[in-house]
Amino acid sequence: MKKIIFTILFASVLVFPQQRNLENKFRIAQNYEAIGDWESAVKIYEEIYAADSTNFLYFDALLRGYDQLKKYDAAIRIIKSRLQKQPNDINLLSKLGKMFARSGEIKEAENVWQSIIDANLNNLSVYSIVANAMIESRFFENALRVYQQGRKISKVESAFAAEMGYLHSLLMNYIDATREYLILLKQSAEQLNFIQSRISMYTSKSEGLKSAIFVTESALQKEPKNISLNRLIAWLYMEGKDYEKAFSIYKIIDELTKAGGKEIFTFAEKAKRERAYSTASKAFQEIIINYPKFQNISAVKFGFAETLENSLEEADSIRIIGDVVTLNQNVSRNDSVYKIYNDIVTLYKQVAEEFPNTDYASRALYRVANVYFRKFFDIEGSLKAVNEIENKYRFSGNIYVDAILLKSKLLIVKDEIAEAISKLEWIAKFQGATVEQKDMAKYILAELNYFLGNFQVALAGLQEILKNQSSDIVNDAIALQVLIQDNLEDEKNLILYSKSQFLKRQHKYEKAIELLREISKTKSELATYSISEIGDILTLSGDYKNALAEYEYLLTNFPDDLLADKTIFKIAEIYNYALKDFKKAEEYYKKLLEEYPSSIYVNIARQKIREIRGDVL
Amino acid sequence: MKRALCTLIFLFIQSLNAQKILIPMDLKQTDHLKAYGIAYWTLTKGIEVDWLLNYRGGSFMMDGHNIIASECRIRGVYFEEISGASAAKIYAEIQEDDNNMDVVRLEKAPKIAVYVPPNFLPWDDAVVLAMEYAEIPYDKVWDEEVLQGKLYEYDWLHLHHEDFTGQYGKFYASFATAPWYIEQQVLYEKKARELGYRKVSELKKAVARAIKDYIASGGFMFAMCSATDSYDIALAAENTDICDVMYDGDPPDPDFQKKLDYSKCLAFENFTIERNPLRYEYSDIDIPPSDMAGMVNQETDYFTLFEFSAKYDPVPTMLTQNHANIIKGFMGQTTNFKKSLIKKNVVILAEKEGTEEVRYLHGNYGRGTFTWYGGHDPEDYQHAVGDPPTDLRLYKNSPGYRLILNNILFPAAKKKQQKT
Repeated sequence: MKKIIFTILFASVLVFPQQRNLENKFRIAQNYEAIGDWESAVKIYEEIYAADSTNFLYFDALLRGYDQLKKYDAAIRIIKSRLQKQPNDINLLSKLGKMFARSGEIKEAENVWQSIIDANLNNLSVYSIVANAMIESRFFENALRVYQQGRKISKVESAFAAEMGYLHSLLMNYIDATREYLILLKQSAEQLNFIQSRISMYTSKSEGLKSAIFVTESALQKEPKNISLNRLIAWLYMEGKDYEKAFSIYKIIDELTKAGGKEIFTFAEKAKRERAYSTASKAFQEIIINYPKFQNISAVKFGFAETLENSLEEADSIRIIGDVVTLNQNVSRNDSVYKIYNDIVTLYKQVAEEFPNTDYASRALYRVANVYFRKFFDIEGSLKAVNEIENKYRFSGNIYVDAILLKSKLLIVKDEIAEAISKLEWIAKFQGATVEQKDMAKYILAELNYFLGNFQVALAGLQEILKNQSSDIVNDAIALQVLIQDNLEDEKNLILYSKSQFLKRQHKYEKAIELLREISKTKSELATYSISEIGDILTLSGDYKNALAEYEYLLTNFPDDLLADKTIFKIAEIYNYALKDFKKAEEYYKKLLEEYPSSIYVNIARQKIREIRGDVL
Repeated sequence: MKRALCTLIFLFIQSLNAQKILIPMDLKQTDHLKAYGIAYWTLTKGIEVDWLLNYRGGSFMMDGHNIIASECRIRGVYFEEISGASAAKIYAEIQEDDNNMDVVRLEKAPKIAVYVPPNFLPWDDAVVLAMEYAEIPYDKVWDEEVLQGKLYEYDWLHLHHEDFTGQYGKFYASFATAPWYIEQQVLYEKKARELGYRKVSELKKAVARAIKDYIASGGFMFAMCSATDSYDIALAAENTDICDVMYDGDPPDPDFQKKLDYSKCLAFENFTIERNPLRYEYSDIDIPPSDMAGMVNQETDYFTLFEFSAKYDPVPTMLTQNHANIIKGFMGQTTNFKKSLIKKNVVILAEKEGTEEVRYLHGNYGRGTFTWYGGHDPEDYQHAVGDPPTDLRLYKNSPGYRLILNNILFPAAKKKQQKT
């Protein structure tokens, strides 16, 4: 016994210093490794590995070194030698596969990886280990095959679906990727958000979106009542901005989930946010018709009217053109859109009546007032709505101030000047009004003073507005200021001119033209402005033929006038938008470029020519 | 004889009366960039264009056709209609020995290919922006087309922010998890395998060699930003692996620096490759802003174009035509080229005075030429990934962008006899 103990002690004395020595060398090698001197590190690792090949740390460090130095043969040799002692070590085998792959011996790598699987056919985690080793070596197709094999063995349809979906999407096989995600969805409907986030990786590409839609539609054909599939396809349609199709799906979802219109409402709000007004209005209408007792029906009705109005505005081809001419924006009673606007007004009125004292009611009334004023020029109709806001919705914030602003404009049109001034002065001082609202009130006041011939008062008011250079109304204020200042000495004609503009505002076109004609016969600097104004008023009235004649007269008789370029542009715009005579329009745009190359309208004229030519820019 | 004399006199008088269109390229020009497009468009109509080197900023002159005048107006290009006599006077002025000017006649519209990846990348490409704004048609080519020899169908090859080293722009540190980066790597790997290359870096080296062969046989290459130094690095690293594991799946050759073969490069030599795979630099060819802390300032960053003899060195003269000879600097992954690392046979076209920074260079290889321009976007000092593309309508007179467009017209030039 004594002898044995002595032998052990003696061996320890010999072994421990040797062990310490190896550890010291290992640390030195690690330092070399840290500074990137792999040659020196590997030399030491080889030495200590030779002394103790059983130590995994030494083995692993040497393998790392061989890898860094691209000594793949040596790496394979030490792995194989270690495998002799641990032939079934999955990690070792996986590293062997990786080294074969790096050395370019792909076949060998594949054989090794396959051998791991063959030896552990029923162990599903092995498939993941091998596939991950393959992914690390960027063999995505191989990894896919491994997962497929694993699924087959497991006999579980959804096995590795997320992994395979991701790999397919990486390899741009969007159809297969979507198929995998649908398998996952079938297994668990709660995964819909996760699946959407995965699919969104490729829906930004048209091919990806098309594939995802194709696969989901096919699946839906087999299971039309599957709610998750319906939600997924609706989301895909929305991604592709196909709101009509999305709407049809939301109707199905609403029915399947017995949501009583909630699903359709969610869609309608989404579509409204995305400015898909036409579809949104259909969705709101659907709720009104089929779910009249919908909980939030006030929002639905208001949404319906609002989106209908917005869609009509977007489709309206008669719009403000350039910054120079306003083509006739009023809707005639014979016009087909008149009926739609009338319906919109009815809807807004219903909202106001059915849901009094709500935010929707005040907003609805304000919209009614606007449509009456802007579209029908129905001053009394507009005033009625505005008065209702003034009387019943004093505390509705911005809408109230906007309504009072609108009322002041209506009163000006009605010639009820004193009341208009009182309203405007009130807004200009009202603490609850925004800066924009106050500036607008000040501008309308200044303009009113200009209309009334109180030019100095108007100028003082405009000066006040110009203190706030960031205001939206500043440009208009400057333009009016310049007009007044430039013509103050010609006061007689300036008074006539301002009166004519007042009459124009009141839609008293004939009287306005009468005054303008009077000025046009003088030698006043306002003469050409007056001819131009006559053209503008005729354009507003839809009398394009006579408008063109006025503009042509101006061009022929005053070719050097400051308004010449603007006039050519107006003619071109009338041909382009009102008369649809594109050849003539192009001719006038070109004339502008040729004769007035420094005009501020040349850039827009160039753009219009290119649009007419159909240039792809 | 009498008849012939009469005809000659008639032609002479007619030429004096004939209208010419002069497109000045000095400060009077309203849209310098579209002016190149007009010159190109005129050539496509079979009408010759004279490039008046160093005359009013490198103006263009052509016969006075109404369609050209109209097109100038539509595109917003300033022009002057001048008489034949005035044109003759201009030509005479240019030909005077004392004036460093010359006329280069352009005869055909060159065919231009732009090397553009098929996938979306979240940065813009100044070369494509310039072409599209100037309305100069171009075809897109990528690795497969280059390897199939399609380049030989084109006069020019333009490249921008590309990486020929196979390191995906060295964006790994910042964008390894970004979908566009992941997709780019997979797409390129897939393409490499399809084309028979084990690694993207190997494919890119093959592409770089194919481009070099194209230049040797008379092609013209214009490159910007990282397409410049990464191209030469790829050529030098033909027999070694400089890519770290995240780029090609295995570590780089530890001795790659020693194995670089600078004789293969077009423009640079003796450079040192950046070993850190996470640093957004390829080598020491570019002097990154981080190395010039406190010295880089947008307000003071300008570079100067060199002046060449128009009559003796028409090509460098064409490449430096501009209405300004001091140009606003702009950064890129490769902003500049260190002068000490540029081969002696390369012509320096522009540099930042008093520094080692060369911004624009030109050289010949075989029967072709290469012109390289540092920086990413001449009108966006520090263009970052994800930034919106520069709207060139706001930079119609950009001297920096003009340098790009100088690199489209000279294959159109009629060969002149050498003066010496």
